[in-house]
Amino acid sequence: MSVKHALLALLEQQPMYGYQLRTEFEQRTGTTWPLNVGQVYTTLTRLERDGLASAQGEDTEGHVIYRITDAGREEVATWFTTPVARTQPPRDELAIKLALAVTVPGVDVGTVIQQQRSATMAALQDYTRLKRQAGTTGLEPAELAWSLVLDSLVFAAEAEIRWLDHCEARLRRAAVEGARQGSPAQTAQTTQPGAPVERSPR
Amino acid sequence: MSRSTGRTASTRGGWRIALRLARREAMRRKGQTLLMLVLICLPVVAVGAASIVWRTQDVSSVEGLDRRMGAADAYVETSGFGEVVQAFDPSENYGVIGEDDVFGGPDTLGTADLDAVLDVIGADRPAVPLRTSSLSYRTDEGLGNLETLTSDLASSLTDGLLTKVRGTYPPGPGEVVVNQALADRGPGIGDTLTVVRQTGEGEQQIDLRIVGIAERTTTRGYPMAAGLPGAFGADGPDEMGQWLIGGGPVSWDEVQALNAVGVLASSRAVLTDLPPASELSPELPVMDSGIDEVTLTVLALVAAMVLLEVVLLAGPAFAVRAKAQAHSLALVAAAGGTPRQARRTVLASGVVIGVVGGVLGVALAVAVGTVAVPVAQRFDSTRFGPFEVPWPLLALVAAFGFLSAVLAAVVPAFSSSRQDVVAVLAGRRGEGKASVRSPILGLVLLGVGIAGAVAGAGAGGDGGGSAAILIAGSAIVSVLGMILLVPMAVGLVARMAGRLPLALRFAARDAARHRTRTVPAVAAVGATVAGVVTLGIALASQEAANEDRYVPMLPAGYGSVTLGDSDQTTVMAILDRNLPEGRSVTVRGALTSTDDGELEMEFRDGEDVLSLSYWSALSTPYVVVSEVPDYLEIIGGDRAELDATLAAGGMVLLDDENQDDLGAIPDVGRLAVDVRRWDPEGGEPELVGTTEVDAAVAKVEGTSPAVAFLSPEVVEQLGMEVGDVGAIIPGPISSEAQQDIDEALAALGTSPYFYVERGYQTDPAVRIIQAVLALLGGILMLGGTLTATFLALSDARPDLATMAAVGARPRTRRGVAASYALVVGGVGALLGAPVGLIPGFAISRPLTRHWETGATSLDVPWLLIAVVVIGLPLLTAGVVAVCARGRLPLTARID
Amino acid sequence: MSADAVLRLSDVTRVHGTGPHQVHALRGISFTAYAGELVAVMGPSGSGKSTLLTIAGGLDQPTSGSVAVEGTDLTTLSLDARARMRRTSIGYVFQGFNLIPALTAAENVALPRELDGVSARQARAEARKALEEVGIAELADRFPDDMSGGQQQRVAIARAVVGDRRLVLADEPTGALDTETGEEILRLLRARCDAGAAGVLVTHEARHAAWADRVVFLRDGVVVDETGADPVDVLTDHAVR
Repeated sequence: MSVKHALLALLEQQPMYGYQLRTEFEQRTGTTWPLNVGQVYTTLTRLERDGLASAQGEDTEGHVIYRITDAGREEVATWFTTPVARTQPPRDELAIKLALAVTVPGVDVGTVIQQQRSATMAALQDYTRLKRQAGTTGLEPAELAWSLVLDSLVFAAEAEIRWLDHCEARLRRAAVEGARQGSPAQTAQTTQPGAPVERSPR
Repeated sequence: MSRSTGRTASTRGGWRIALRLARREAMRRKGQTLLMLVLICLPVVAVGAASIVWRTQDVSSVEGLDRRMGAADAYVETSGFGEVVQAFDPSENYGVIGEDDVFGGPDTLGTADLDAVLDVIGADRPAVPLRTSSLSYRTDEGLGNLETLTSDLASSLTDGLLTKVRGTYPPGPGEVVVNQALADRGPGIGDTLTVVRQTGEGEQQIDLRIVGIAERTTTRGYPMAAGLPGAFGADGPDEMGQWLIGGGPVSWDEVQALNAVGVLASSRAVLTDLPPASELSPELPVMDSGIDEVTLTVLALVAAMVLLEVVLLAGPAFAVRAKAQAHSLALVAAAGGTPRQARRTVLASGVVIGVVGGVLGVALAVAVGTVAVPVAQRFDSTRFGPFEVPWPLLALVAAFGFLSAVLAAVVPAFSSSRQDVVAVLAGRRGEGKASVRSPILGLVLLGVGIAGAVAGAGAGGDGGGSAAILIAGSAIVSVLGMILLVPMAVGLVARMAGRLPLALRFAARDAARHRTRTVPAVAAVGATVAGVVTLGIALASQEAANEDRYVPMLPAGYGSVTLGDSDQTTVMAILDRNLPEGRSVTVRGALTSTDDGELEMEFRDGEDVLSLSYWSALSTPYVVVSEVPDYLEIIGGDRAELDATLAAGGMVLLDDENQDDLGAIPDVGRLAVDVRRWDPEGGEPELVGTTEVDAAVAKVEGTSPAVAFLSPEVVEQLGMEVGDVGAIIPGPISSEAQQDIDEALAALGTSPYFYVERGYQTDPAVRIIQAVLALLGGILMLGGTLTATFLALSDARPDLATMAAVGARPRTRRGVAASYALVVGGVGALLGAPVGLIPGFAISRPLTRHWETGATSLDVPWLLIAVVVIGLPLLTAGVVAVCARGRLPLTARID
Repeated sequence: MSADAVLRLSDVTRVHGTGPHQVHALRGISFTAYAGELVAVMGPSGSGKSTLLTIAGGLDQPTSGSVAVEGTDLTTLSLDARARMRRTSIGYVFQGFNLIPALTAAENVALPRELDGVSARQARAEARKALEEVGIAELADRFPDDMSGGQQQRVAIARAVVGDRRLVLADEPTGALDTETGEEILRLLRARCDAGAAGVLVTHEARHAAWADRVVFLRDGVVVDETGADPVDVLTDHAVR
């Protein structure tokens, strides 16, 4: 994941050093995408190389302070106004798992789906609990930002569950039609299909 | 296809679609359709059946021919005048030519002049006499009355006058046939019928042997005997001649020839084939057309009111039907349909229901009429004619039904064409705000109605006709004004409903939200109540006037007997048998009817003739006594003094409350009495006796039984006769005793007259009418409220389901239903009562105005009004609560 | 949860119709809802979730099995008694709001209390309290026709909770609302359950079901799964890749 633009956007607010940047980022996005400091410094170096930021000396404790350049500001502006490209479908472990489950004999797809659904639902419940604690009114901008991120997790989980419902319905219809046409139906076995896929944020 | 045909084709097509939709909707909601049909059909059936019975009962000239003249060609009768003109049917109209023609004059034809009659139309025509009269006959209890018919019953000309039932027919000399009614009361076949006849010489008794039972084709139920000519006694020479003539048709020319000699003729030939009206003589008196303007106007107003009621009662049903179609109509509008097309769809419902209702109504009317005719015949002794269905009249009634259906659909049609499309598609029930114009117009109309009523009330003059029309017309205008005020009233009630308990609150607000359905129902109730109130006031006021003007004929509770032909001893014996001994007092009076003529008495103070009031039921105004009788209660004057006056050969004049109008009797001590005899020729009464006597005046309570008490000396001085004239009985007299005395006196057969003063007795007919009014009002109110309530309940199904889901008891539905009924009935009654008061007040004036004093009476039957305004809505609500289903609709979805 | 079971369905079966066209809406379901917890019921159409709710609310009777609300078995009660339960113990929230247009918001909310014979004044007071709880106290005298969908649903919820009911049943309460408003509705239900009532929420939106402590999955009239109620803060776990 590219945090280049996010760090630039933070620098636009005020010049910061690496560790400070990381703290600021995590404050705004929670621990959804934990950064390690090394990643931050690497990115800062790249930014400096591309002329979007420049090192401005050190502070009292010896941290190197970075500042945004004019080109960097332009870059940030462009980033904000350009939609995120869906360049290539990210590899979804769950979709792969299901595709295999359907075609590999001896796997009870229904159980796979249900177990995944329960797990995703449990995660969804967790997100929702966090939302309850946060509330929706009287938020500071930073809190609001975090809340929006949380919402994205919620909607994504819901989308997954809806997709699972949809798969289940299609599989059932296919089984019914298969039985009608006399083709060998999927034999349902009680083999363990493996653990449900953990929710992985992208 | 040209433009114009395109438009008409589209109109036709549009109507075709609308009718098809209406028909489908009618089949889908069978219950609702049935309800609407009943409302439209009912008046059609009622009026149609009534008109069938009426026309059947009405025996026209042609239908009655056989009954009147048997098998003869003509029925002729002498008129007693020298020259006459007649209508084609002389029983309808005839007139006398020549003003100085006198009845029974020397040149007129009578019963002995058959030859003269036949000379005119053919001497060789067969003819038999035909005579009817009323006589008496002996029964087990005394005397009864009967009708007699004599003719040459063996002749074929009389075929069809009587129908033989049993025994021998025709009767021979000394024999008669009687009808069943007579046989039931007394003598039967083989018995003797004793006919009693009053002639100039006295009573004549004729014994006849009954040989058979036969029925007269015109009447039943009334005793009748038929025999040969002369069976019931010889005719007097002055009798009119009546004959049946045979021997071929009697033409109109021959009829006119008969007219020229003073003979009226009903000719079969003429009546079956009427000549043109121009043949009638111009000298024929103009007959009142029978139906005058006033009656016509009243009929028209009644028809308008009935139409209004039916429209109002059927309105809610059409409104609900329109609401059911609202969704589809909104879709049509959203898809570009015009308001006119929406209107058309709802109107089509009215057309379909109207056509079906009219046709069905006529068919049912014929069925009901077929059943009703024999039932009605039982109550009427006159034989009905052949079963007759007046098709033009029925067509008119059917058209009326059709019109009412269409009118009932008009308002919902217009309202649905203006509906808020958006709201309907969004599923929002209920209607928008009421318009402001209609209440204002309503108030204006009410004002006009009040003004008209006031004008009508003031119209003194003829008192009848024009005032009645004006008041009736203004009443209808007022009702129309009230109808326009109903939406505002309903809305007002809804706004104030916040404090009411749940069911009433809901019903009131829901009623206001569905005005198209509620307003006609409330208006129907209001119109009904207004009508009941108006008629109630009119009736009660008239009764009050009658009661006010009632003058008792005897002191309260007293009874009196006039002898008639009876014997005083016999009468007194009957009275003493039924009443406490000695109560009844024989009355001796100065006889004013003598063989020499009628006498009258006058009292004079000098030259002033006293005018004395006489209202008594006693048989004579002048009672002859030696002392003031005990039965007289005196309130002014000393009894001892009065006795003294009588003992001294004087008289006592009685001053009662009726005398007040005529002036007090002067107490001068001495008065003159004149006796005069009436001249039957019409000249001046002749003075036959006069005297002067001491006179005292006694004041009595109420009505005095006589004008004066005379001592025997006075009567002798006047040269008058004294005799027993009857009895007076001081009260109280029980109704059982009265009945017994009545029966015993009637059995004497000498027609004594027994009267008991019980004060003003309300005509039982009035009570019946009042009860009928309340009943009719109740039925109409119940009908209107029930339709509105059950339609409202079906509309409110979703709300009731919600209440069920929220935990309402099943009987909540009953409470809601009763609340609807109460709202509709209550608001309607509260609006209608004041509107009815106005014409009621107004009409009481011309109705009760005294022809002399101009005083009027007004009695408002508050009890009736309270029953109708308060009691009936509550009763209706109760009936609805009982009839409503006690189960709420539950929504259970299958998921 | 150690709290008592406000709703307990034991081996409940509901069959519609007879013969070959029989529909088994529920097959031997056992289901419990405790005080203070919100349970969500999810499933495709035909799974029986709405039937579950109508049986729990006493609007429908099971073919076999028992339905106990606060200890009282609804199957043994008469129609009258079940209505009484709906007036006093059970609150029902419909998808279509089902408000009576002829009554104001306050009157709609007061409806169950008034039907129970409570005096008008007290019923209104309780209604106002409930309206405050759902945050629309100022709409008390408005008619439903003059309110938005979200406001109407709040009134419906107020009606379902008026008088401190212990069991709230909600049938797709957010179906006709946008996401933001729907979430507010769920917050209200959640708050009610936190205050001690037991809530059963039928929904097909996972996002909303997630507000529950337990999510029960129904399929063909049978419970096929149930997610737990143990609070695990997944995100603070750092177990996520």
